[in-house]
Amino acid sequence: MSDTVLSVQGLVRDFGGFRAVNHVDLAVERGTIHAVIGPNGAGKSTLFKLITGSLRPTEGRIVLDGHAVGGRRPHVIATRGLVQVFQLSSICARLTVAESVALGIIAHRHRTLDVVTGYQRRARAQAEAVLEQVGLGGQGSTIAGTLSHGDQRALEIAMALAISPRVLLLDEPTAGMSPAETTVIAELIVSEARTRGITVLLSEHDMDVVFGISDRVTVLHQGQVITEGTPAEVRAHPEVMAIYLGHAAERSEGVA
Amino acid sequence: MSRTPSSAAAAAVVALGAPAPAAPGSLASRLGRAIALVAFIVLVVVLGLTLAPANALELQYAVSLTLFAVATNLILGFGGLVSFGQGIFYGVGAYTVALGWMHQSLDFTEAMVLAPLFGAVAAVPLGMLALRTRRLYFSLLTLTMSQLAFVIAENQTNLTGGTNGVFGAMVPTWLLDPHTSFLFTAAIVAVSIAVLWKVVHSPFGLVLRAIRDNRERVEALGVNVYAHELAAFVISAFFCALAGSLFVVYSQSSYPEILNWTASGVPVFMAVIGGMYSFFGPVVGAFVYEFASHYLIEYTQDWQLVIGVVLLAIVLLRPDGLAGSLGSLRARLRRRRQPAAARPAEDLATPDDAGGRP
Repeated sequence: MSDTVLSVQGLVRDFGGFRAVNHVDLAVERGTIHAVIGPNGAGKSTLFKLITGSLRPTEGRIVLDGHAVGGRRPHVIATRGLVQVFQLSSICARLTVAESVALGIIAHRHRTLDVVTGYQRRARAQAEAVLEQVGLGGQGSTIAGTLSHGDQRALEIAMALAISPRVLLLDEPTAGMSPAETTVIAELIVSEARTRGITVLLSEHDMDVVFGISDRVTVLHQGQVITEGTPAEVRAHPEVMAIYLGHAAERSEGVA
Repeated sequence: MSRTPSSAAAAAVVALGAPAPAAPGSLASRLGRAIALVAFIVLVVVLGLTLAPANALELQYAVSLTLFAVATNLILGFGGLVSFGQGIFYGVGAYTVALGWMHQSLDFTEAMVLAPLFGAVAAVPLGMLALRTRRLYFSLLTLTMSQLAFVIAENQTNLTGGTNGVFGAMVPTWLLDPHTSFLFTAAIVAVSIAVLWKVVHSPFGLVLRAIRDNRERVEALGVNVYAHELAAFVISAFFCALAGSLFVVYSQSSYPEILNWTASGVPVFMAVIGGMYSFFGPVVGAFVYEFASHYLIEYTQDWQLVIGVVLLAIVLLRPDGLAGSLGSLRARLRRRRQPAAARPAEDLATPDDAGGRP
């Protein structure tokens, strides 16, 4: 029986006269890795911003674990179990690595208004375990802003994992990474999803990553869903081929 | 010259102001800092009790300003909110004592208890309004609010005594002895700063610093950023008002100038001079600012111009202030002593990431 953890129904978002997201339906099954792909300007980032609450939908519904969350504030959606990792590295540059993860733990345990106890010390100790998982073990005292780009992405994922999310939203998790770093992050995503049963919804440019790790793939084009299916189905879909091969053909013509 | 011992206190406090290093720090360095802190407190207390009454009173005023600066820095350095309105709460504190005495013949102790509470209560609506805006707009809005408070204090003559303010025997006789009032002030400031230290080093303090660095990120972790900023604003106002009530202990009066927007700028200057990313930086800044302005005023009428130039130089060259300069100097010395190997990321509380996001 299917178990949908995140469902998007008839979602629309207009910017002035431009419809960036046009009646998008999406159903993400619990415990799967679900990718959203599409050329630049397909509406992936807008769709993700609608899901996380940083943008309000023009129309449509977003249901997270049985709760309608469309148009709610980002922190409310986050407390419902959906956590986002941003497209551009987005860390707290002056905190240490351990403090960054402790922040997630404190947020998850609702201790953010605690000025009485030494809870952050305990949270920092717990953070070490999470850092170990993402390959940042022993770096707890490093200032986050001085980490390499790849390590900052790993730290972001660690911060997100610290709040034990039901759904992890990754907007282009390997953007700007070296191939080696990409592999590490991809493996990290897969192992977290499989071992902890976290649902992952990601958007990605790198097709090898998408087809390598995803259970389901949704293809967006000009704000609309073209198709949805397993990686193999999507790869063989004529329209997808047209979009991607068409782009490739244009590009090679341009070069010639 | 009789003021020299006080400037010794200023020098000692500079030595204290090195920023808490990024890493938790070795036991030795923590012990060193604890010793410096105790030595500094002892020095100030000894000076306060042995100086001539007039100088002890000046030192008392400087001590009360350290609380104003540290309280302002809770939202400035740790919350990333540049408020030019903390003088409002300082004024609320001072006027609570003065007006309570004048209109309600309120007992001094009762007034001292009410002052910080009134400051906190006033901060709720003002903070709710001001925190709807960001950055420059927040600064401008708080500045506007402080001007409004100034105008109210100046024009509501029946309530506030107008331009002249309130003067009188509002401070009990046992507090009139300069050494007693110094001790009274120093004790309240010490306890308050200890509480603020606890706040900065609590889970709440960590959340606050994270919001300063990257509010979207913190929001994405499920934290209501607005509510936490408001809480910090209210806590800051509580202690600013307490510092304001100590102004009455010092001056036995309250008048509109303490509400002028320039008065709100003073704790911001102090924090910037001393180093706003270090907890004790504003203490350093408060002493340096207070004594520097004291000396400068003997040489030039344009002492504020001098302070302005110094401030500009700090913001441009060393945004982490005196404390940060000291911290990186120490780190450099240590590095020279232990070359190459395992260098802790120590002087990272330095300027390059002061601008926030990379």
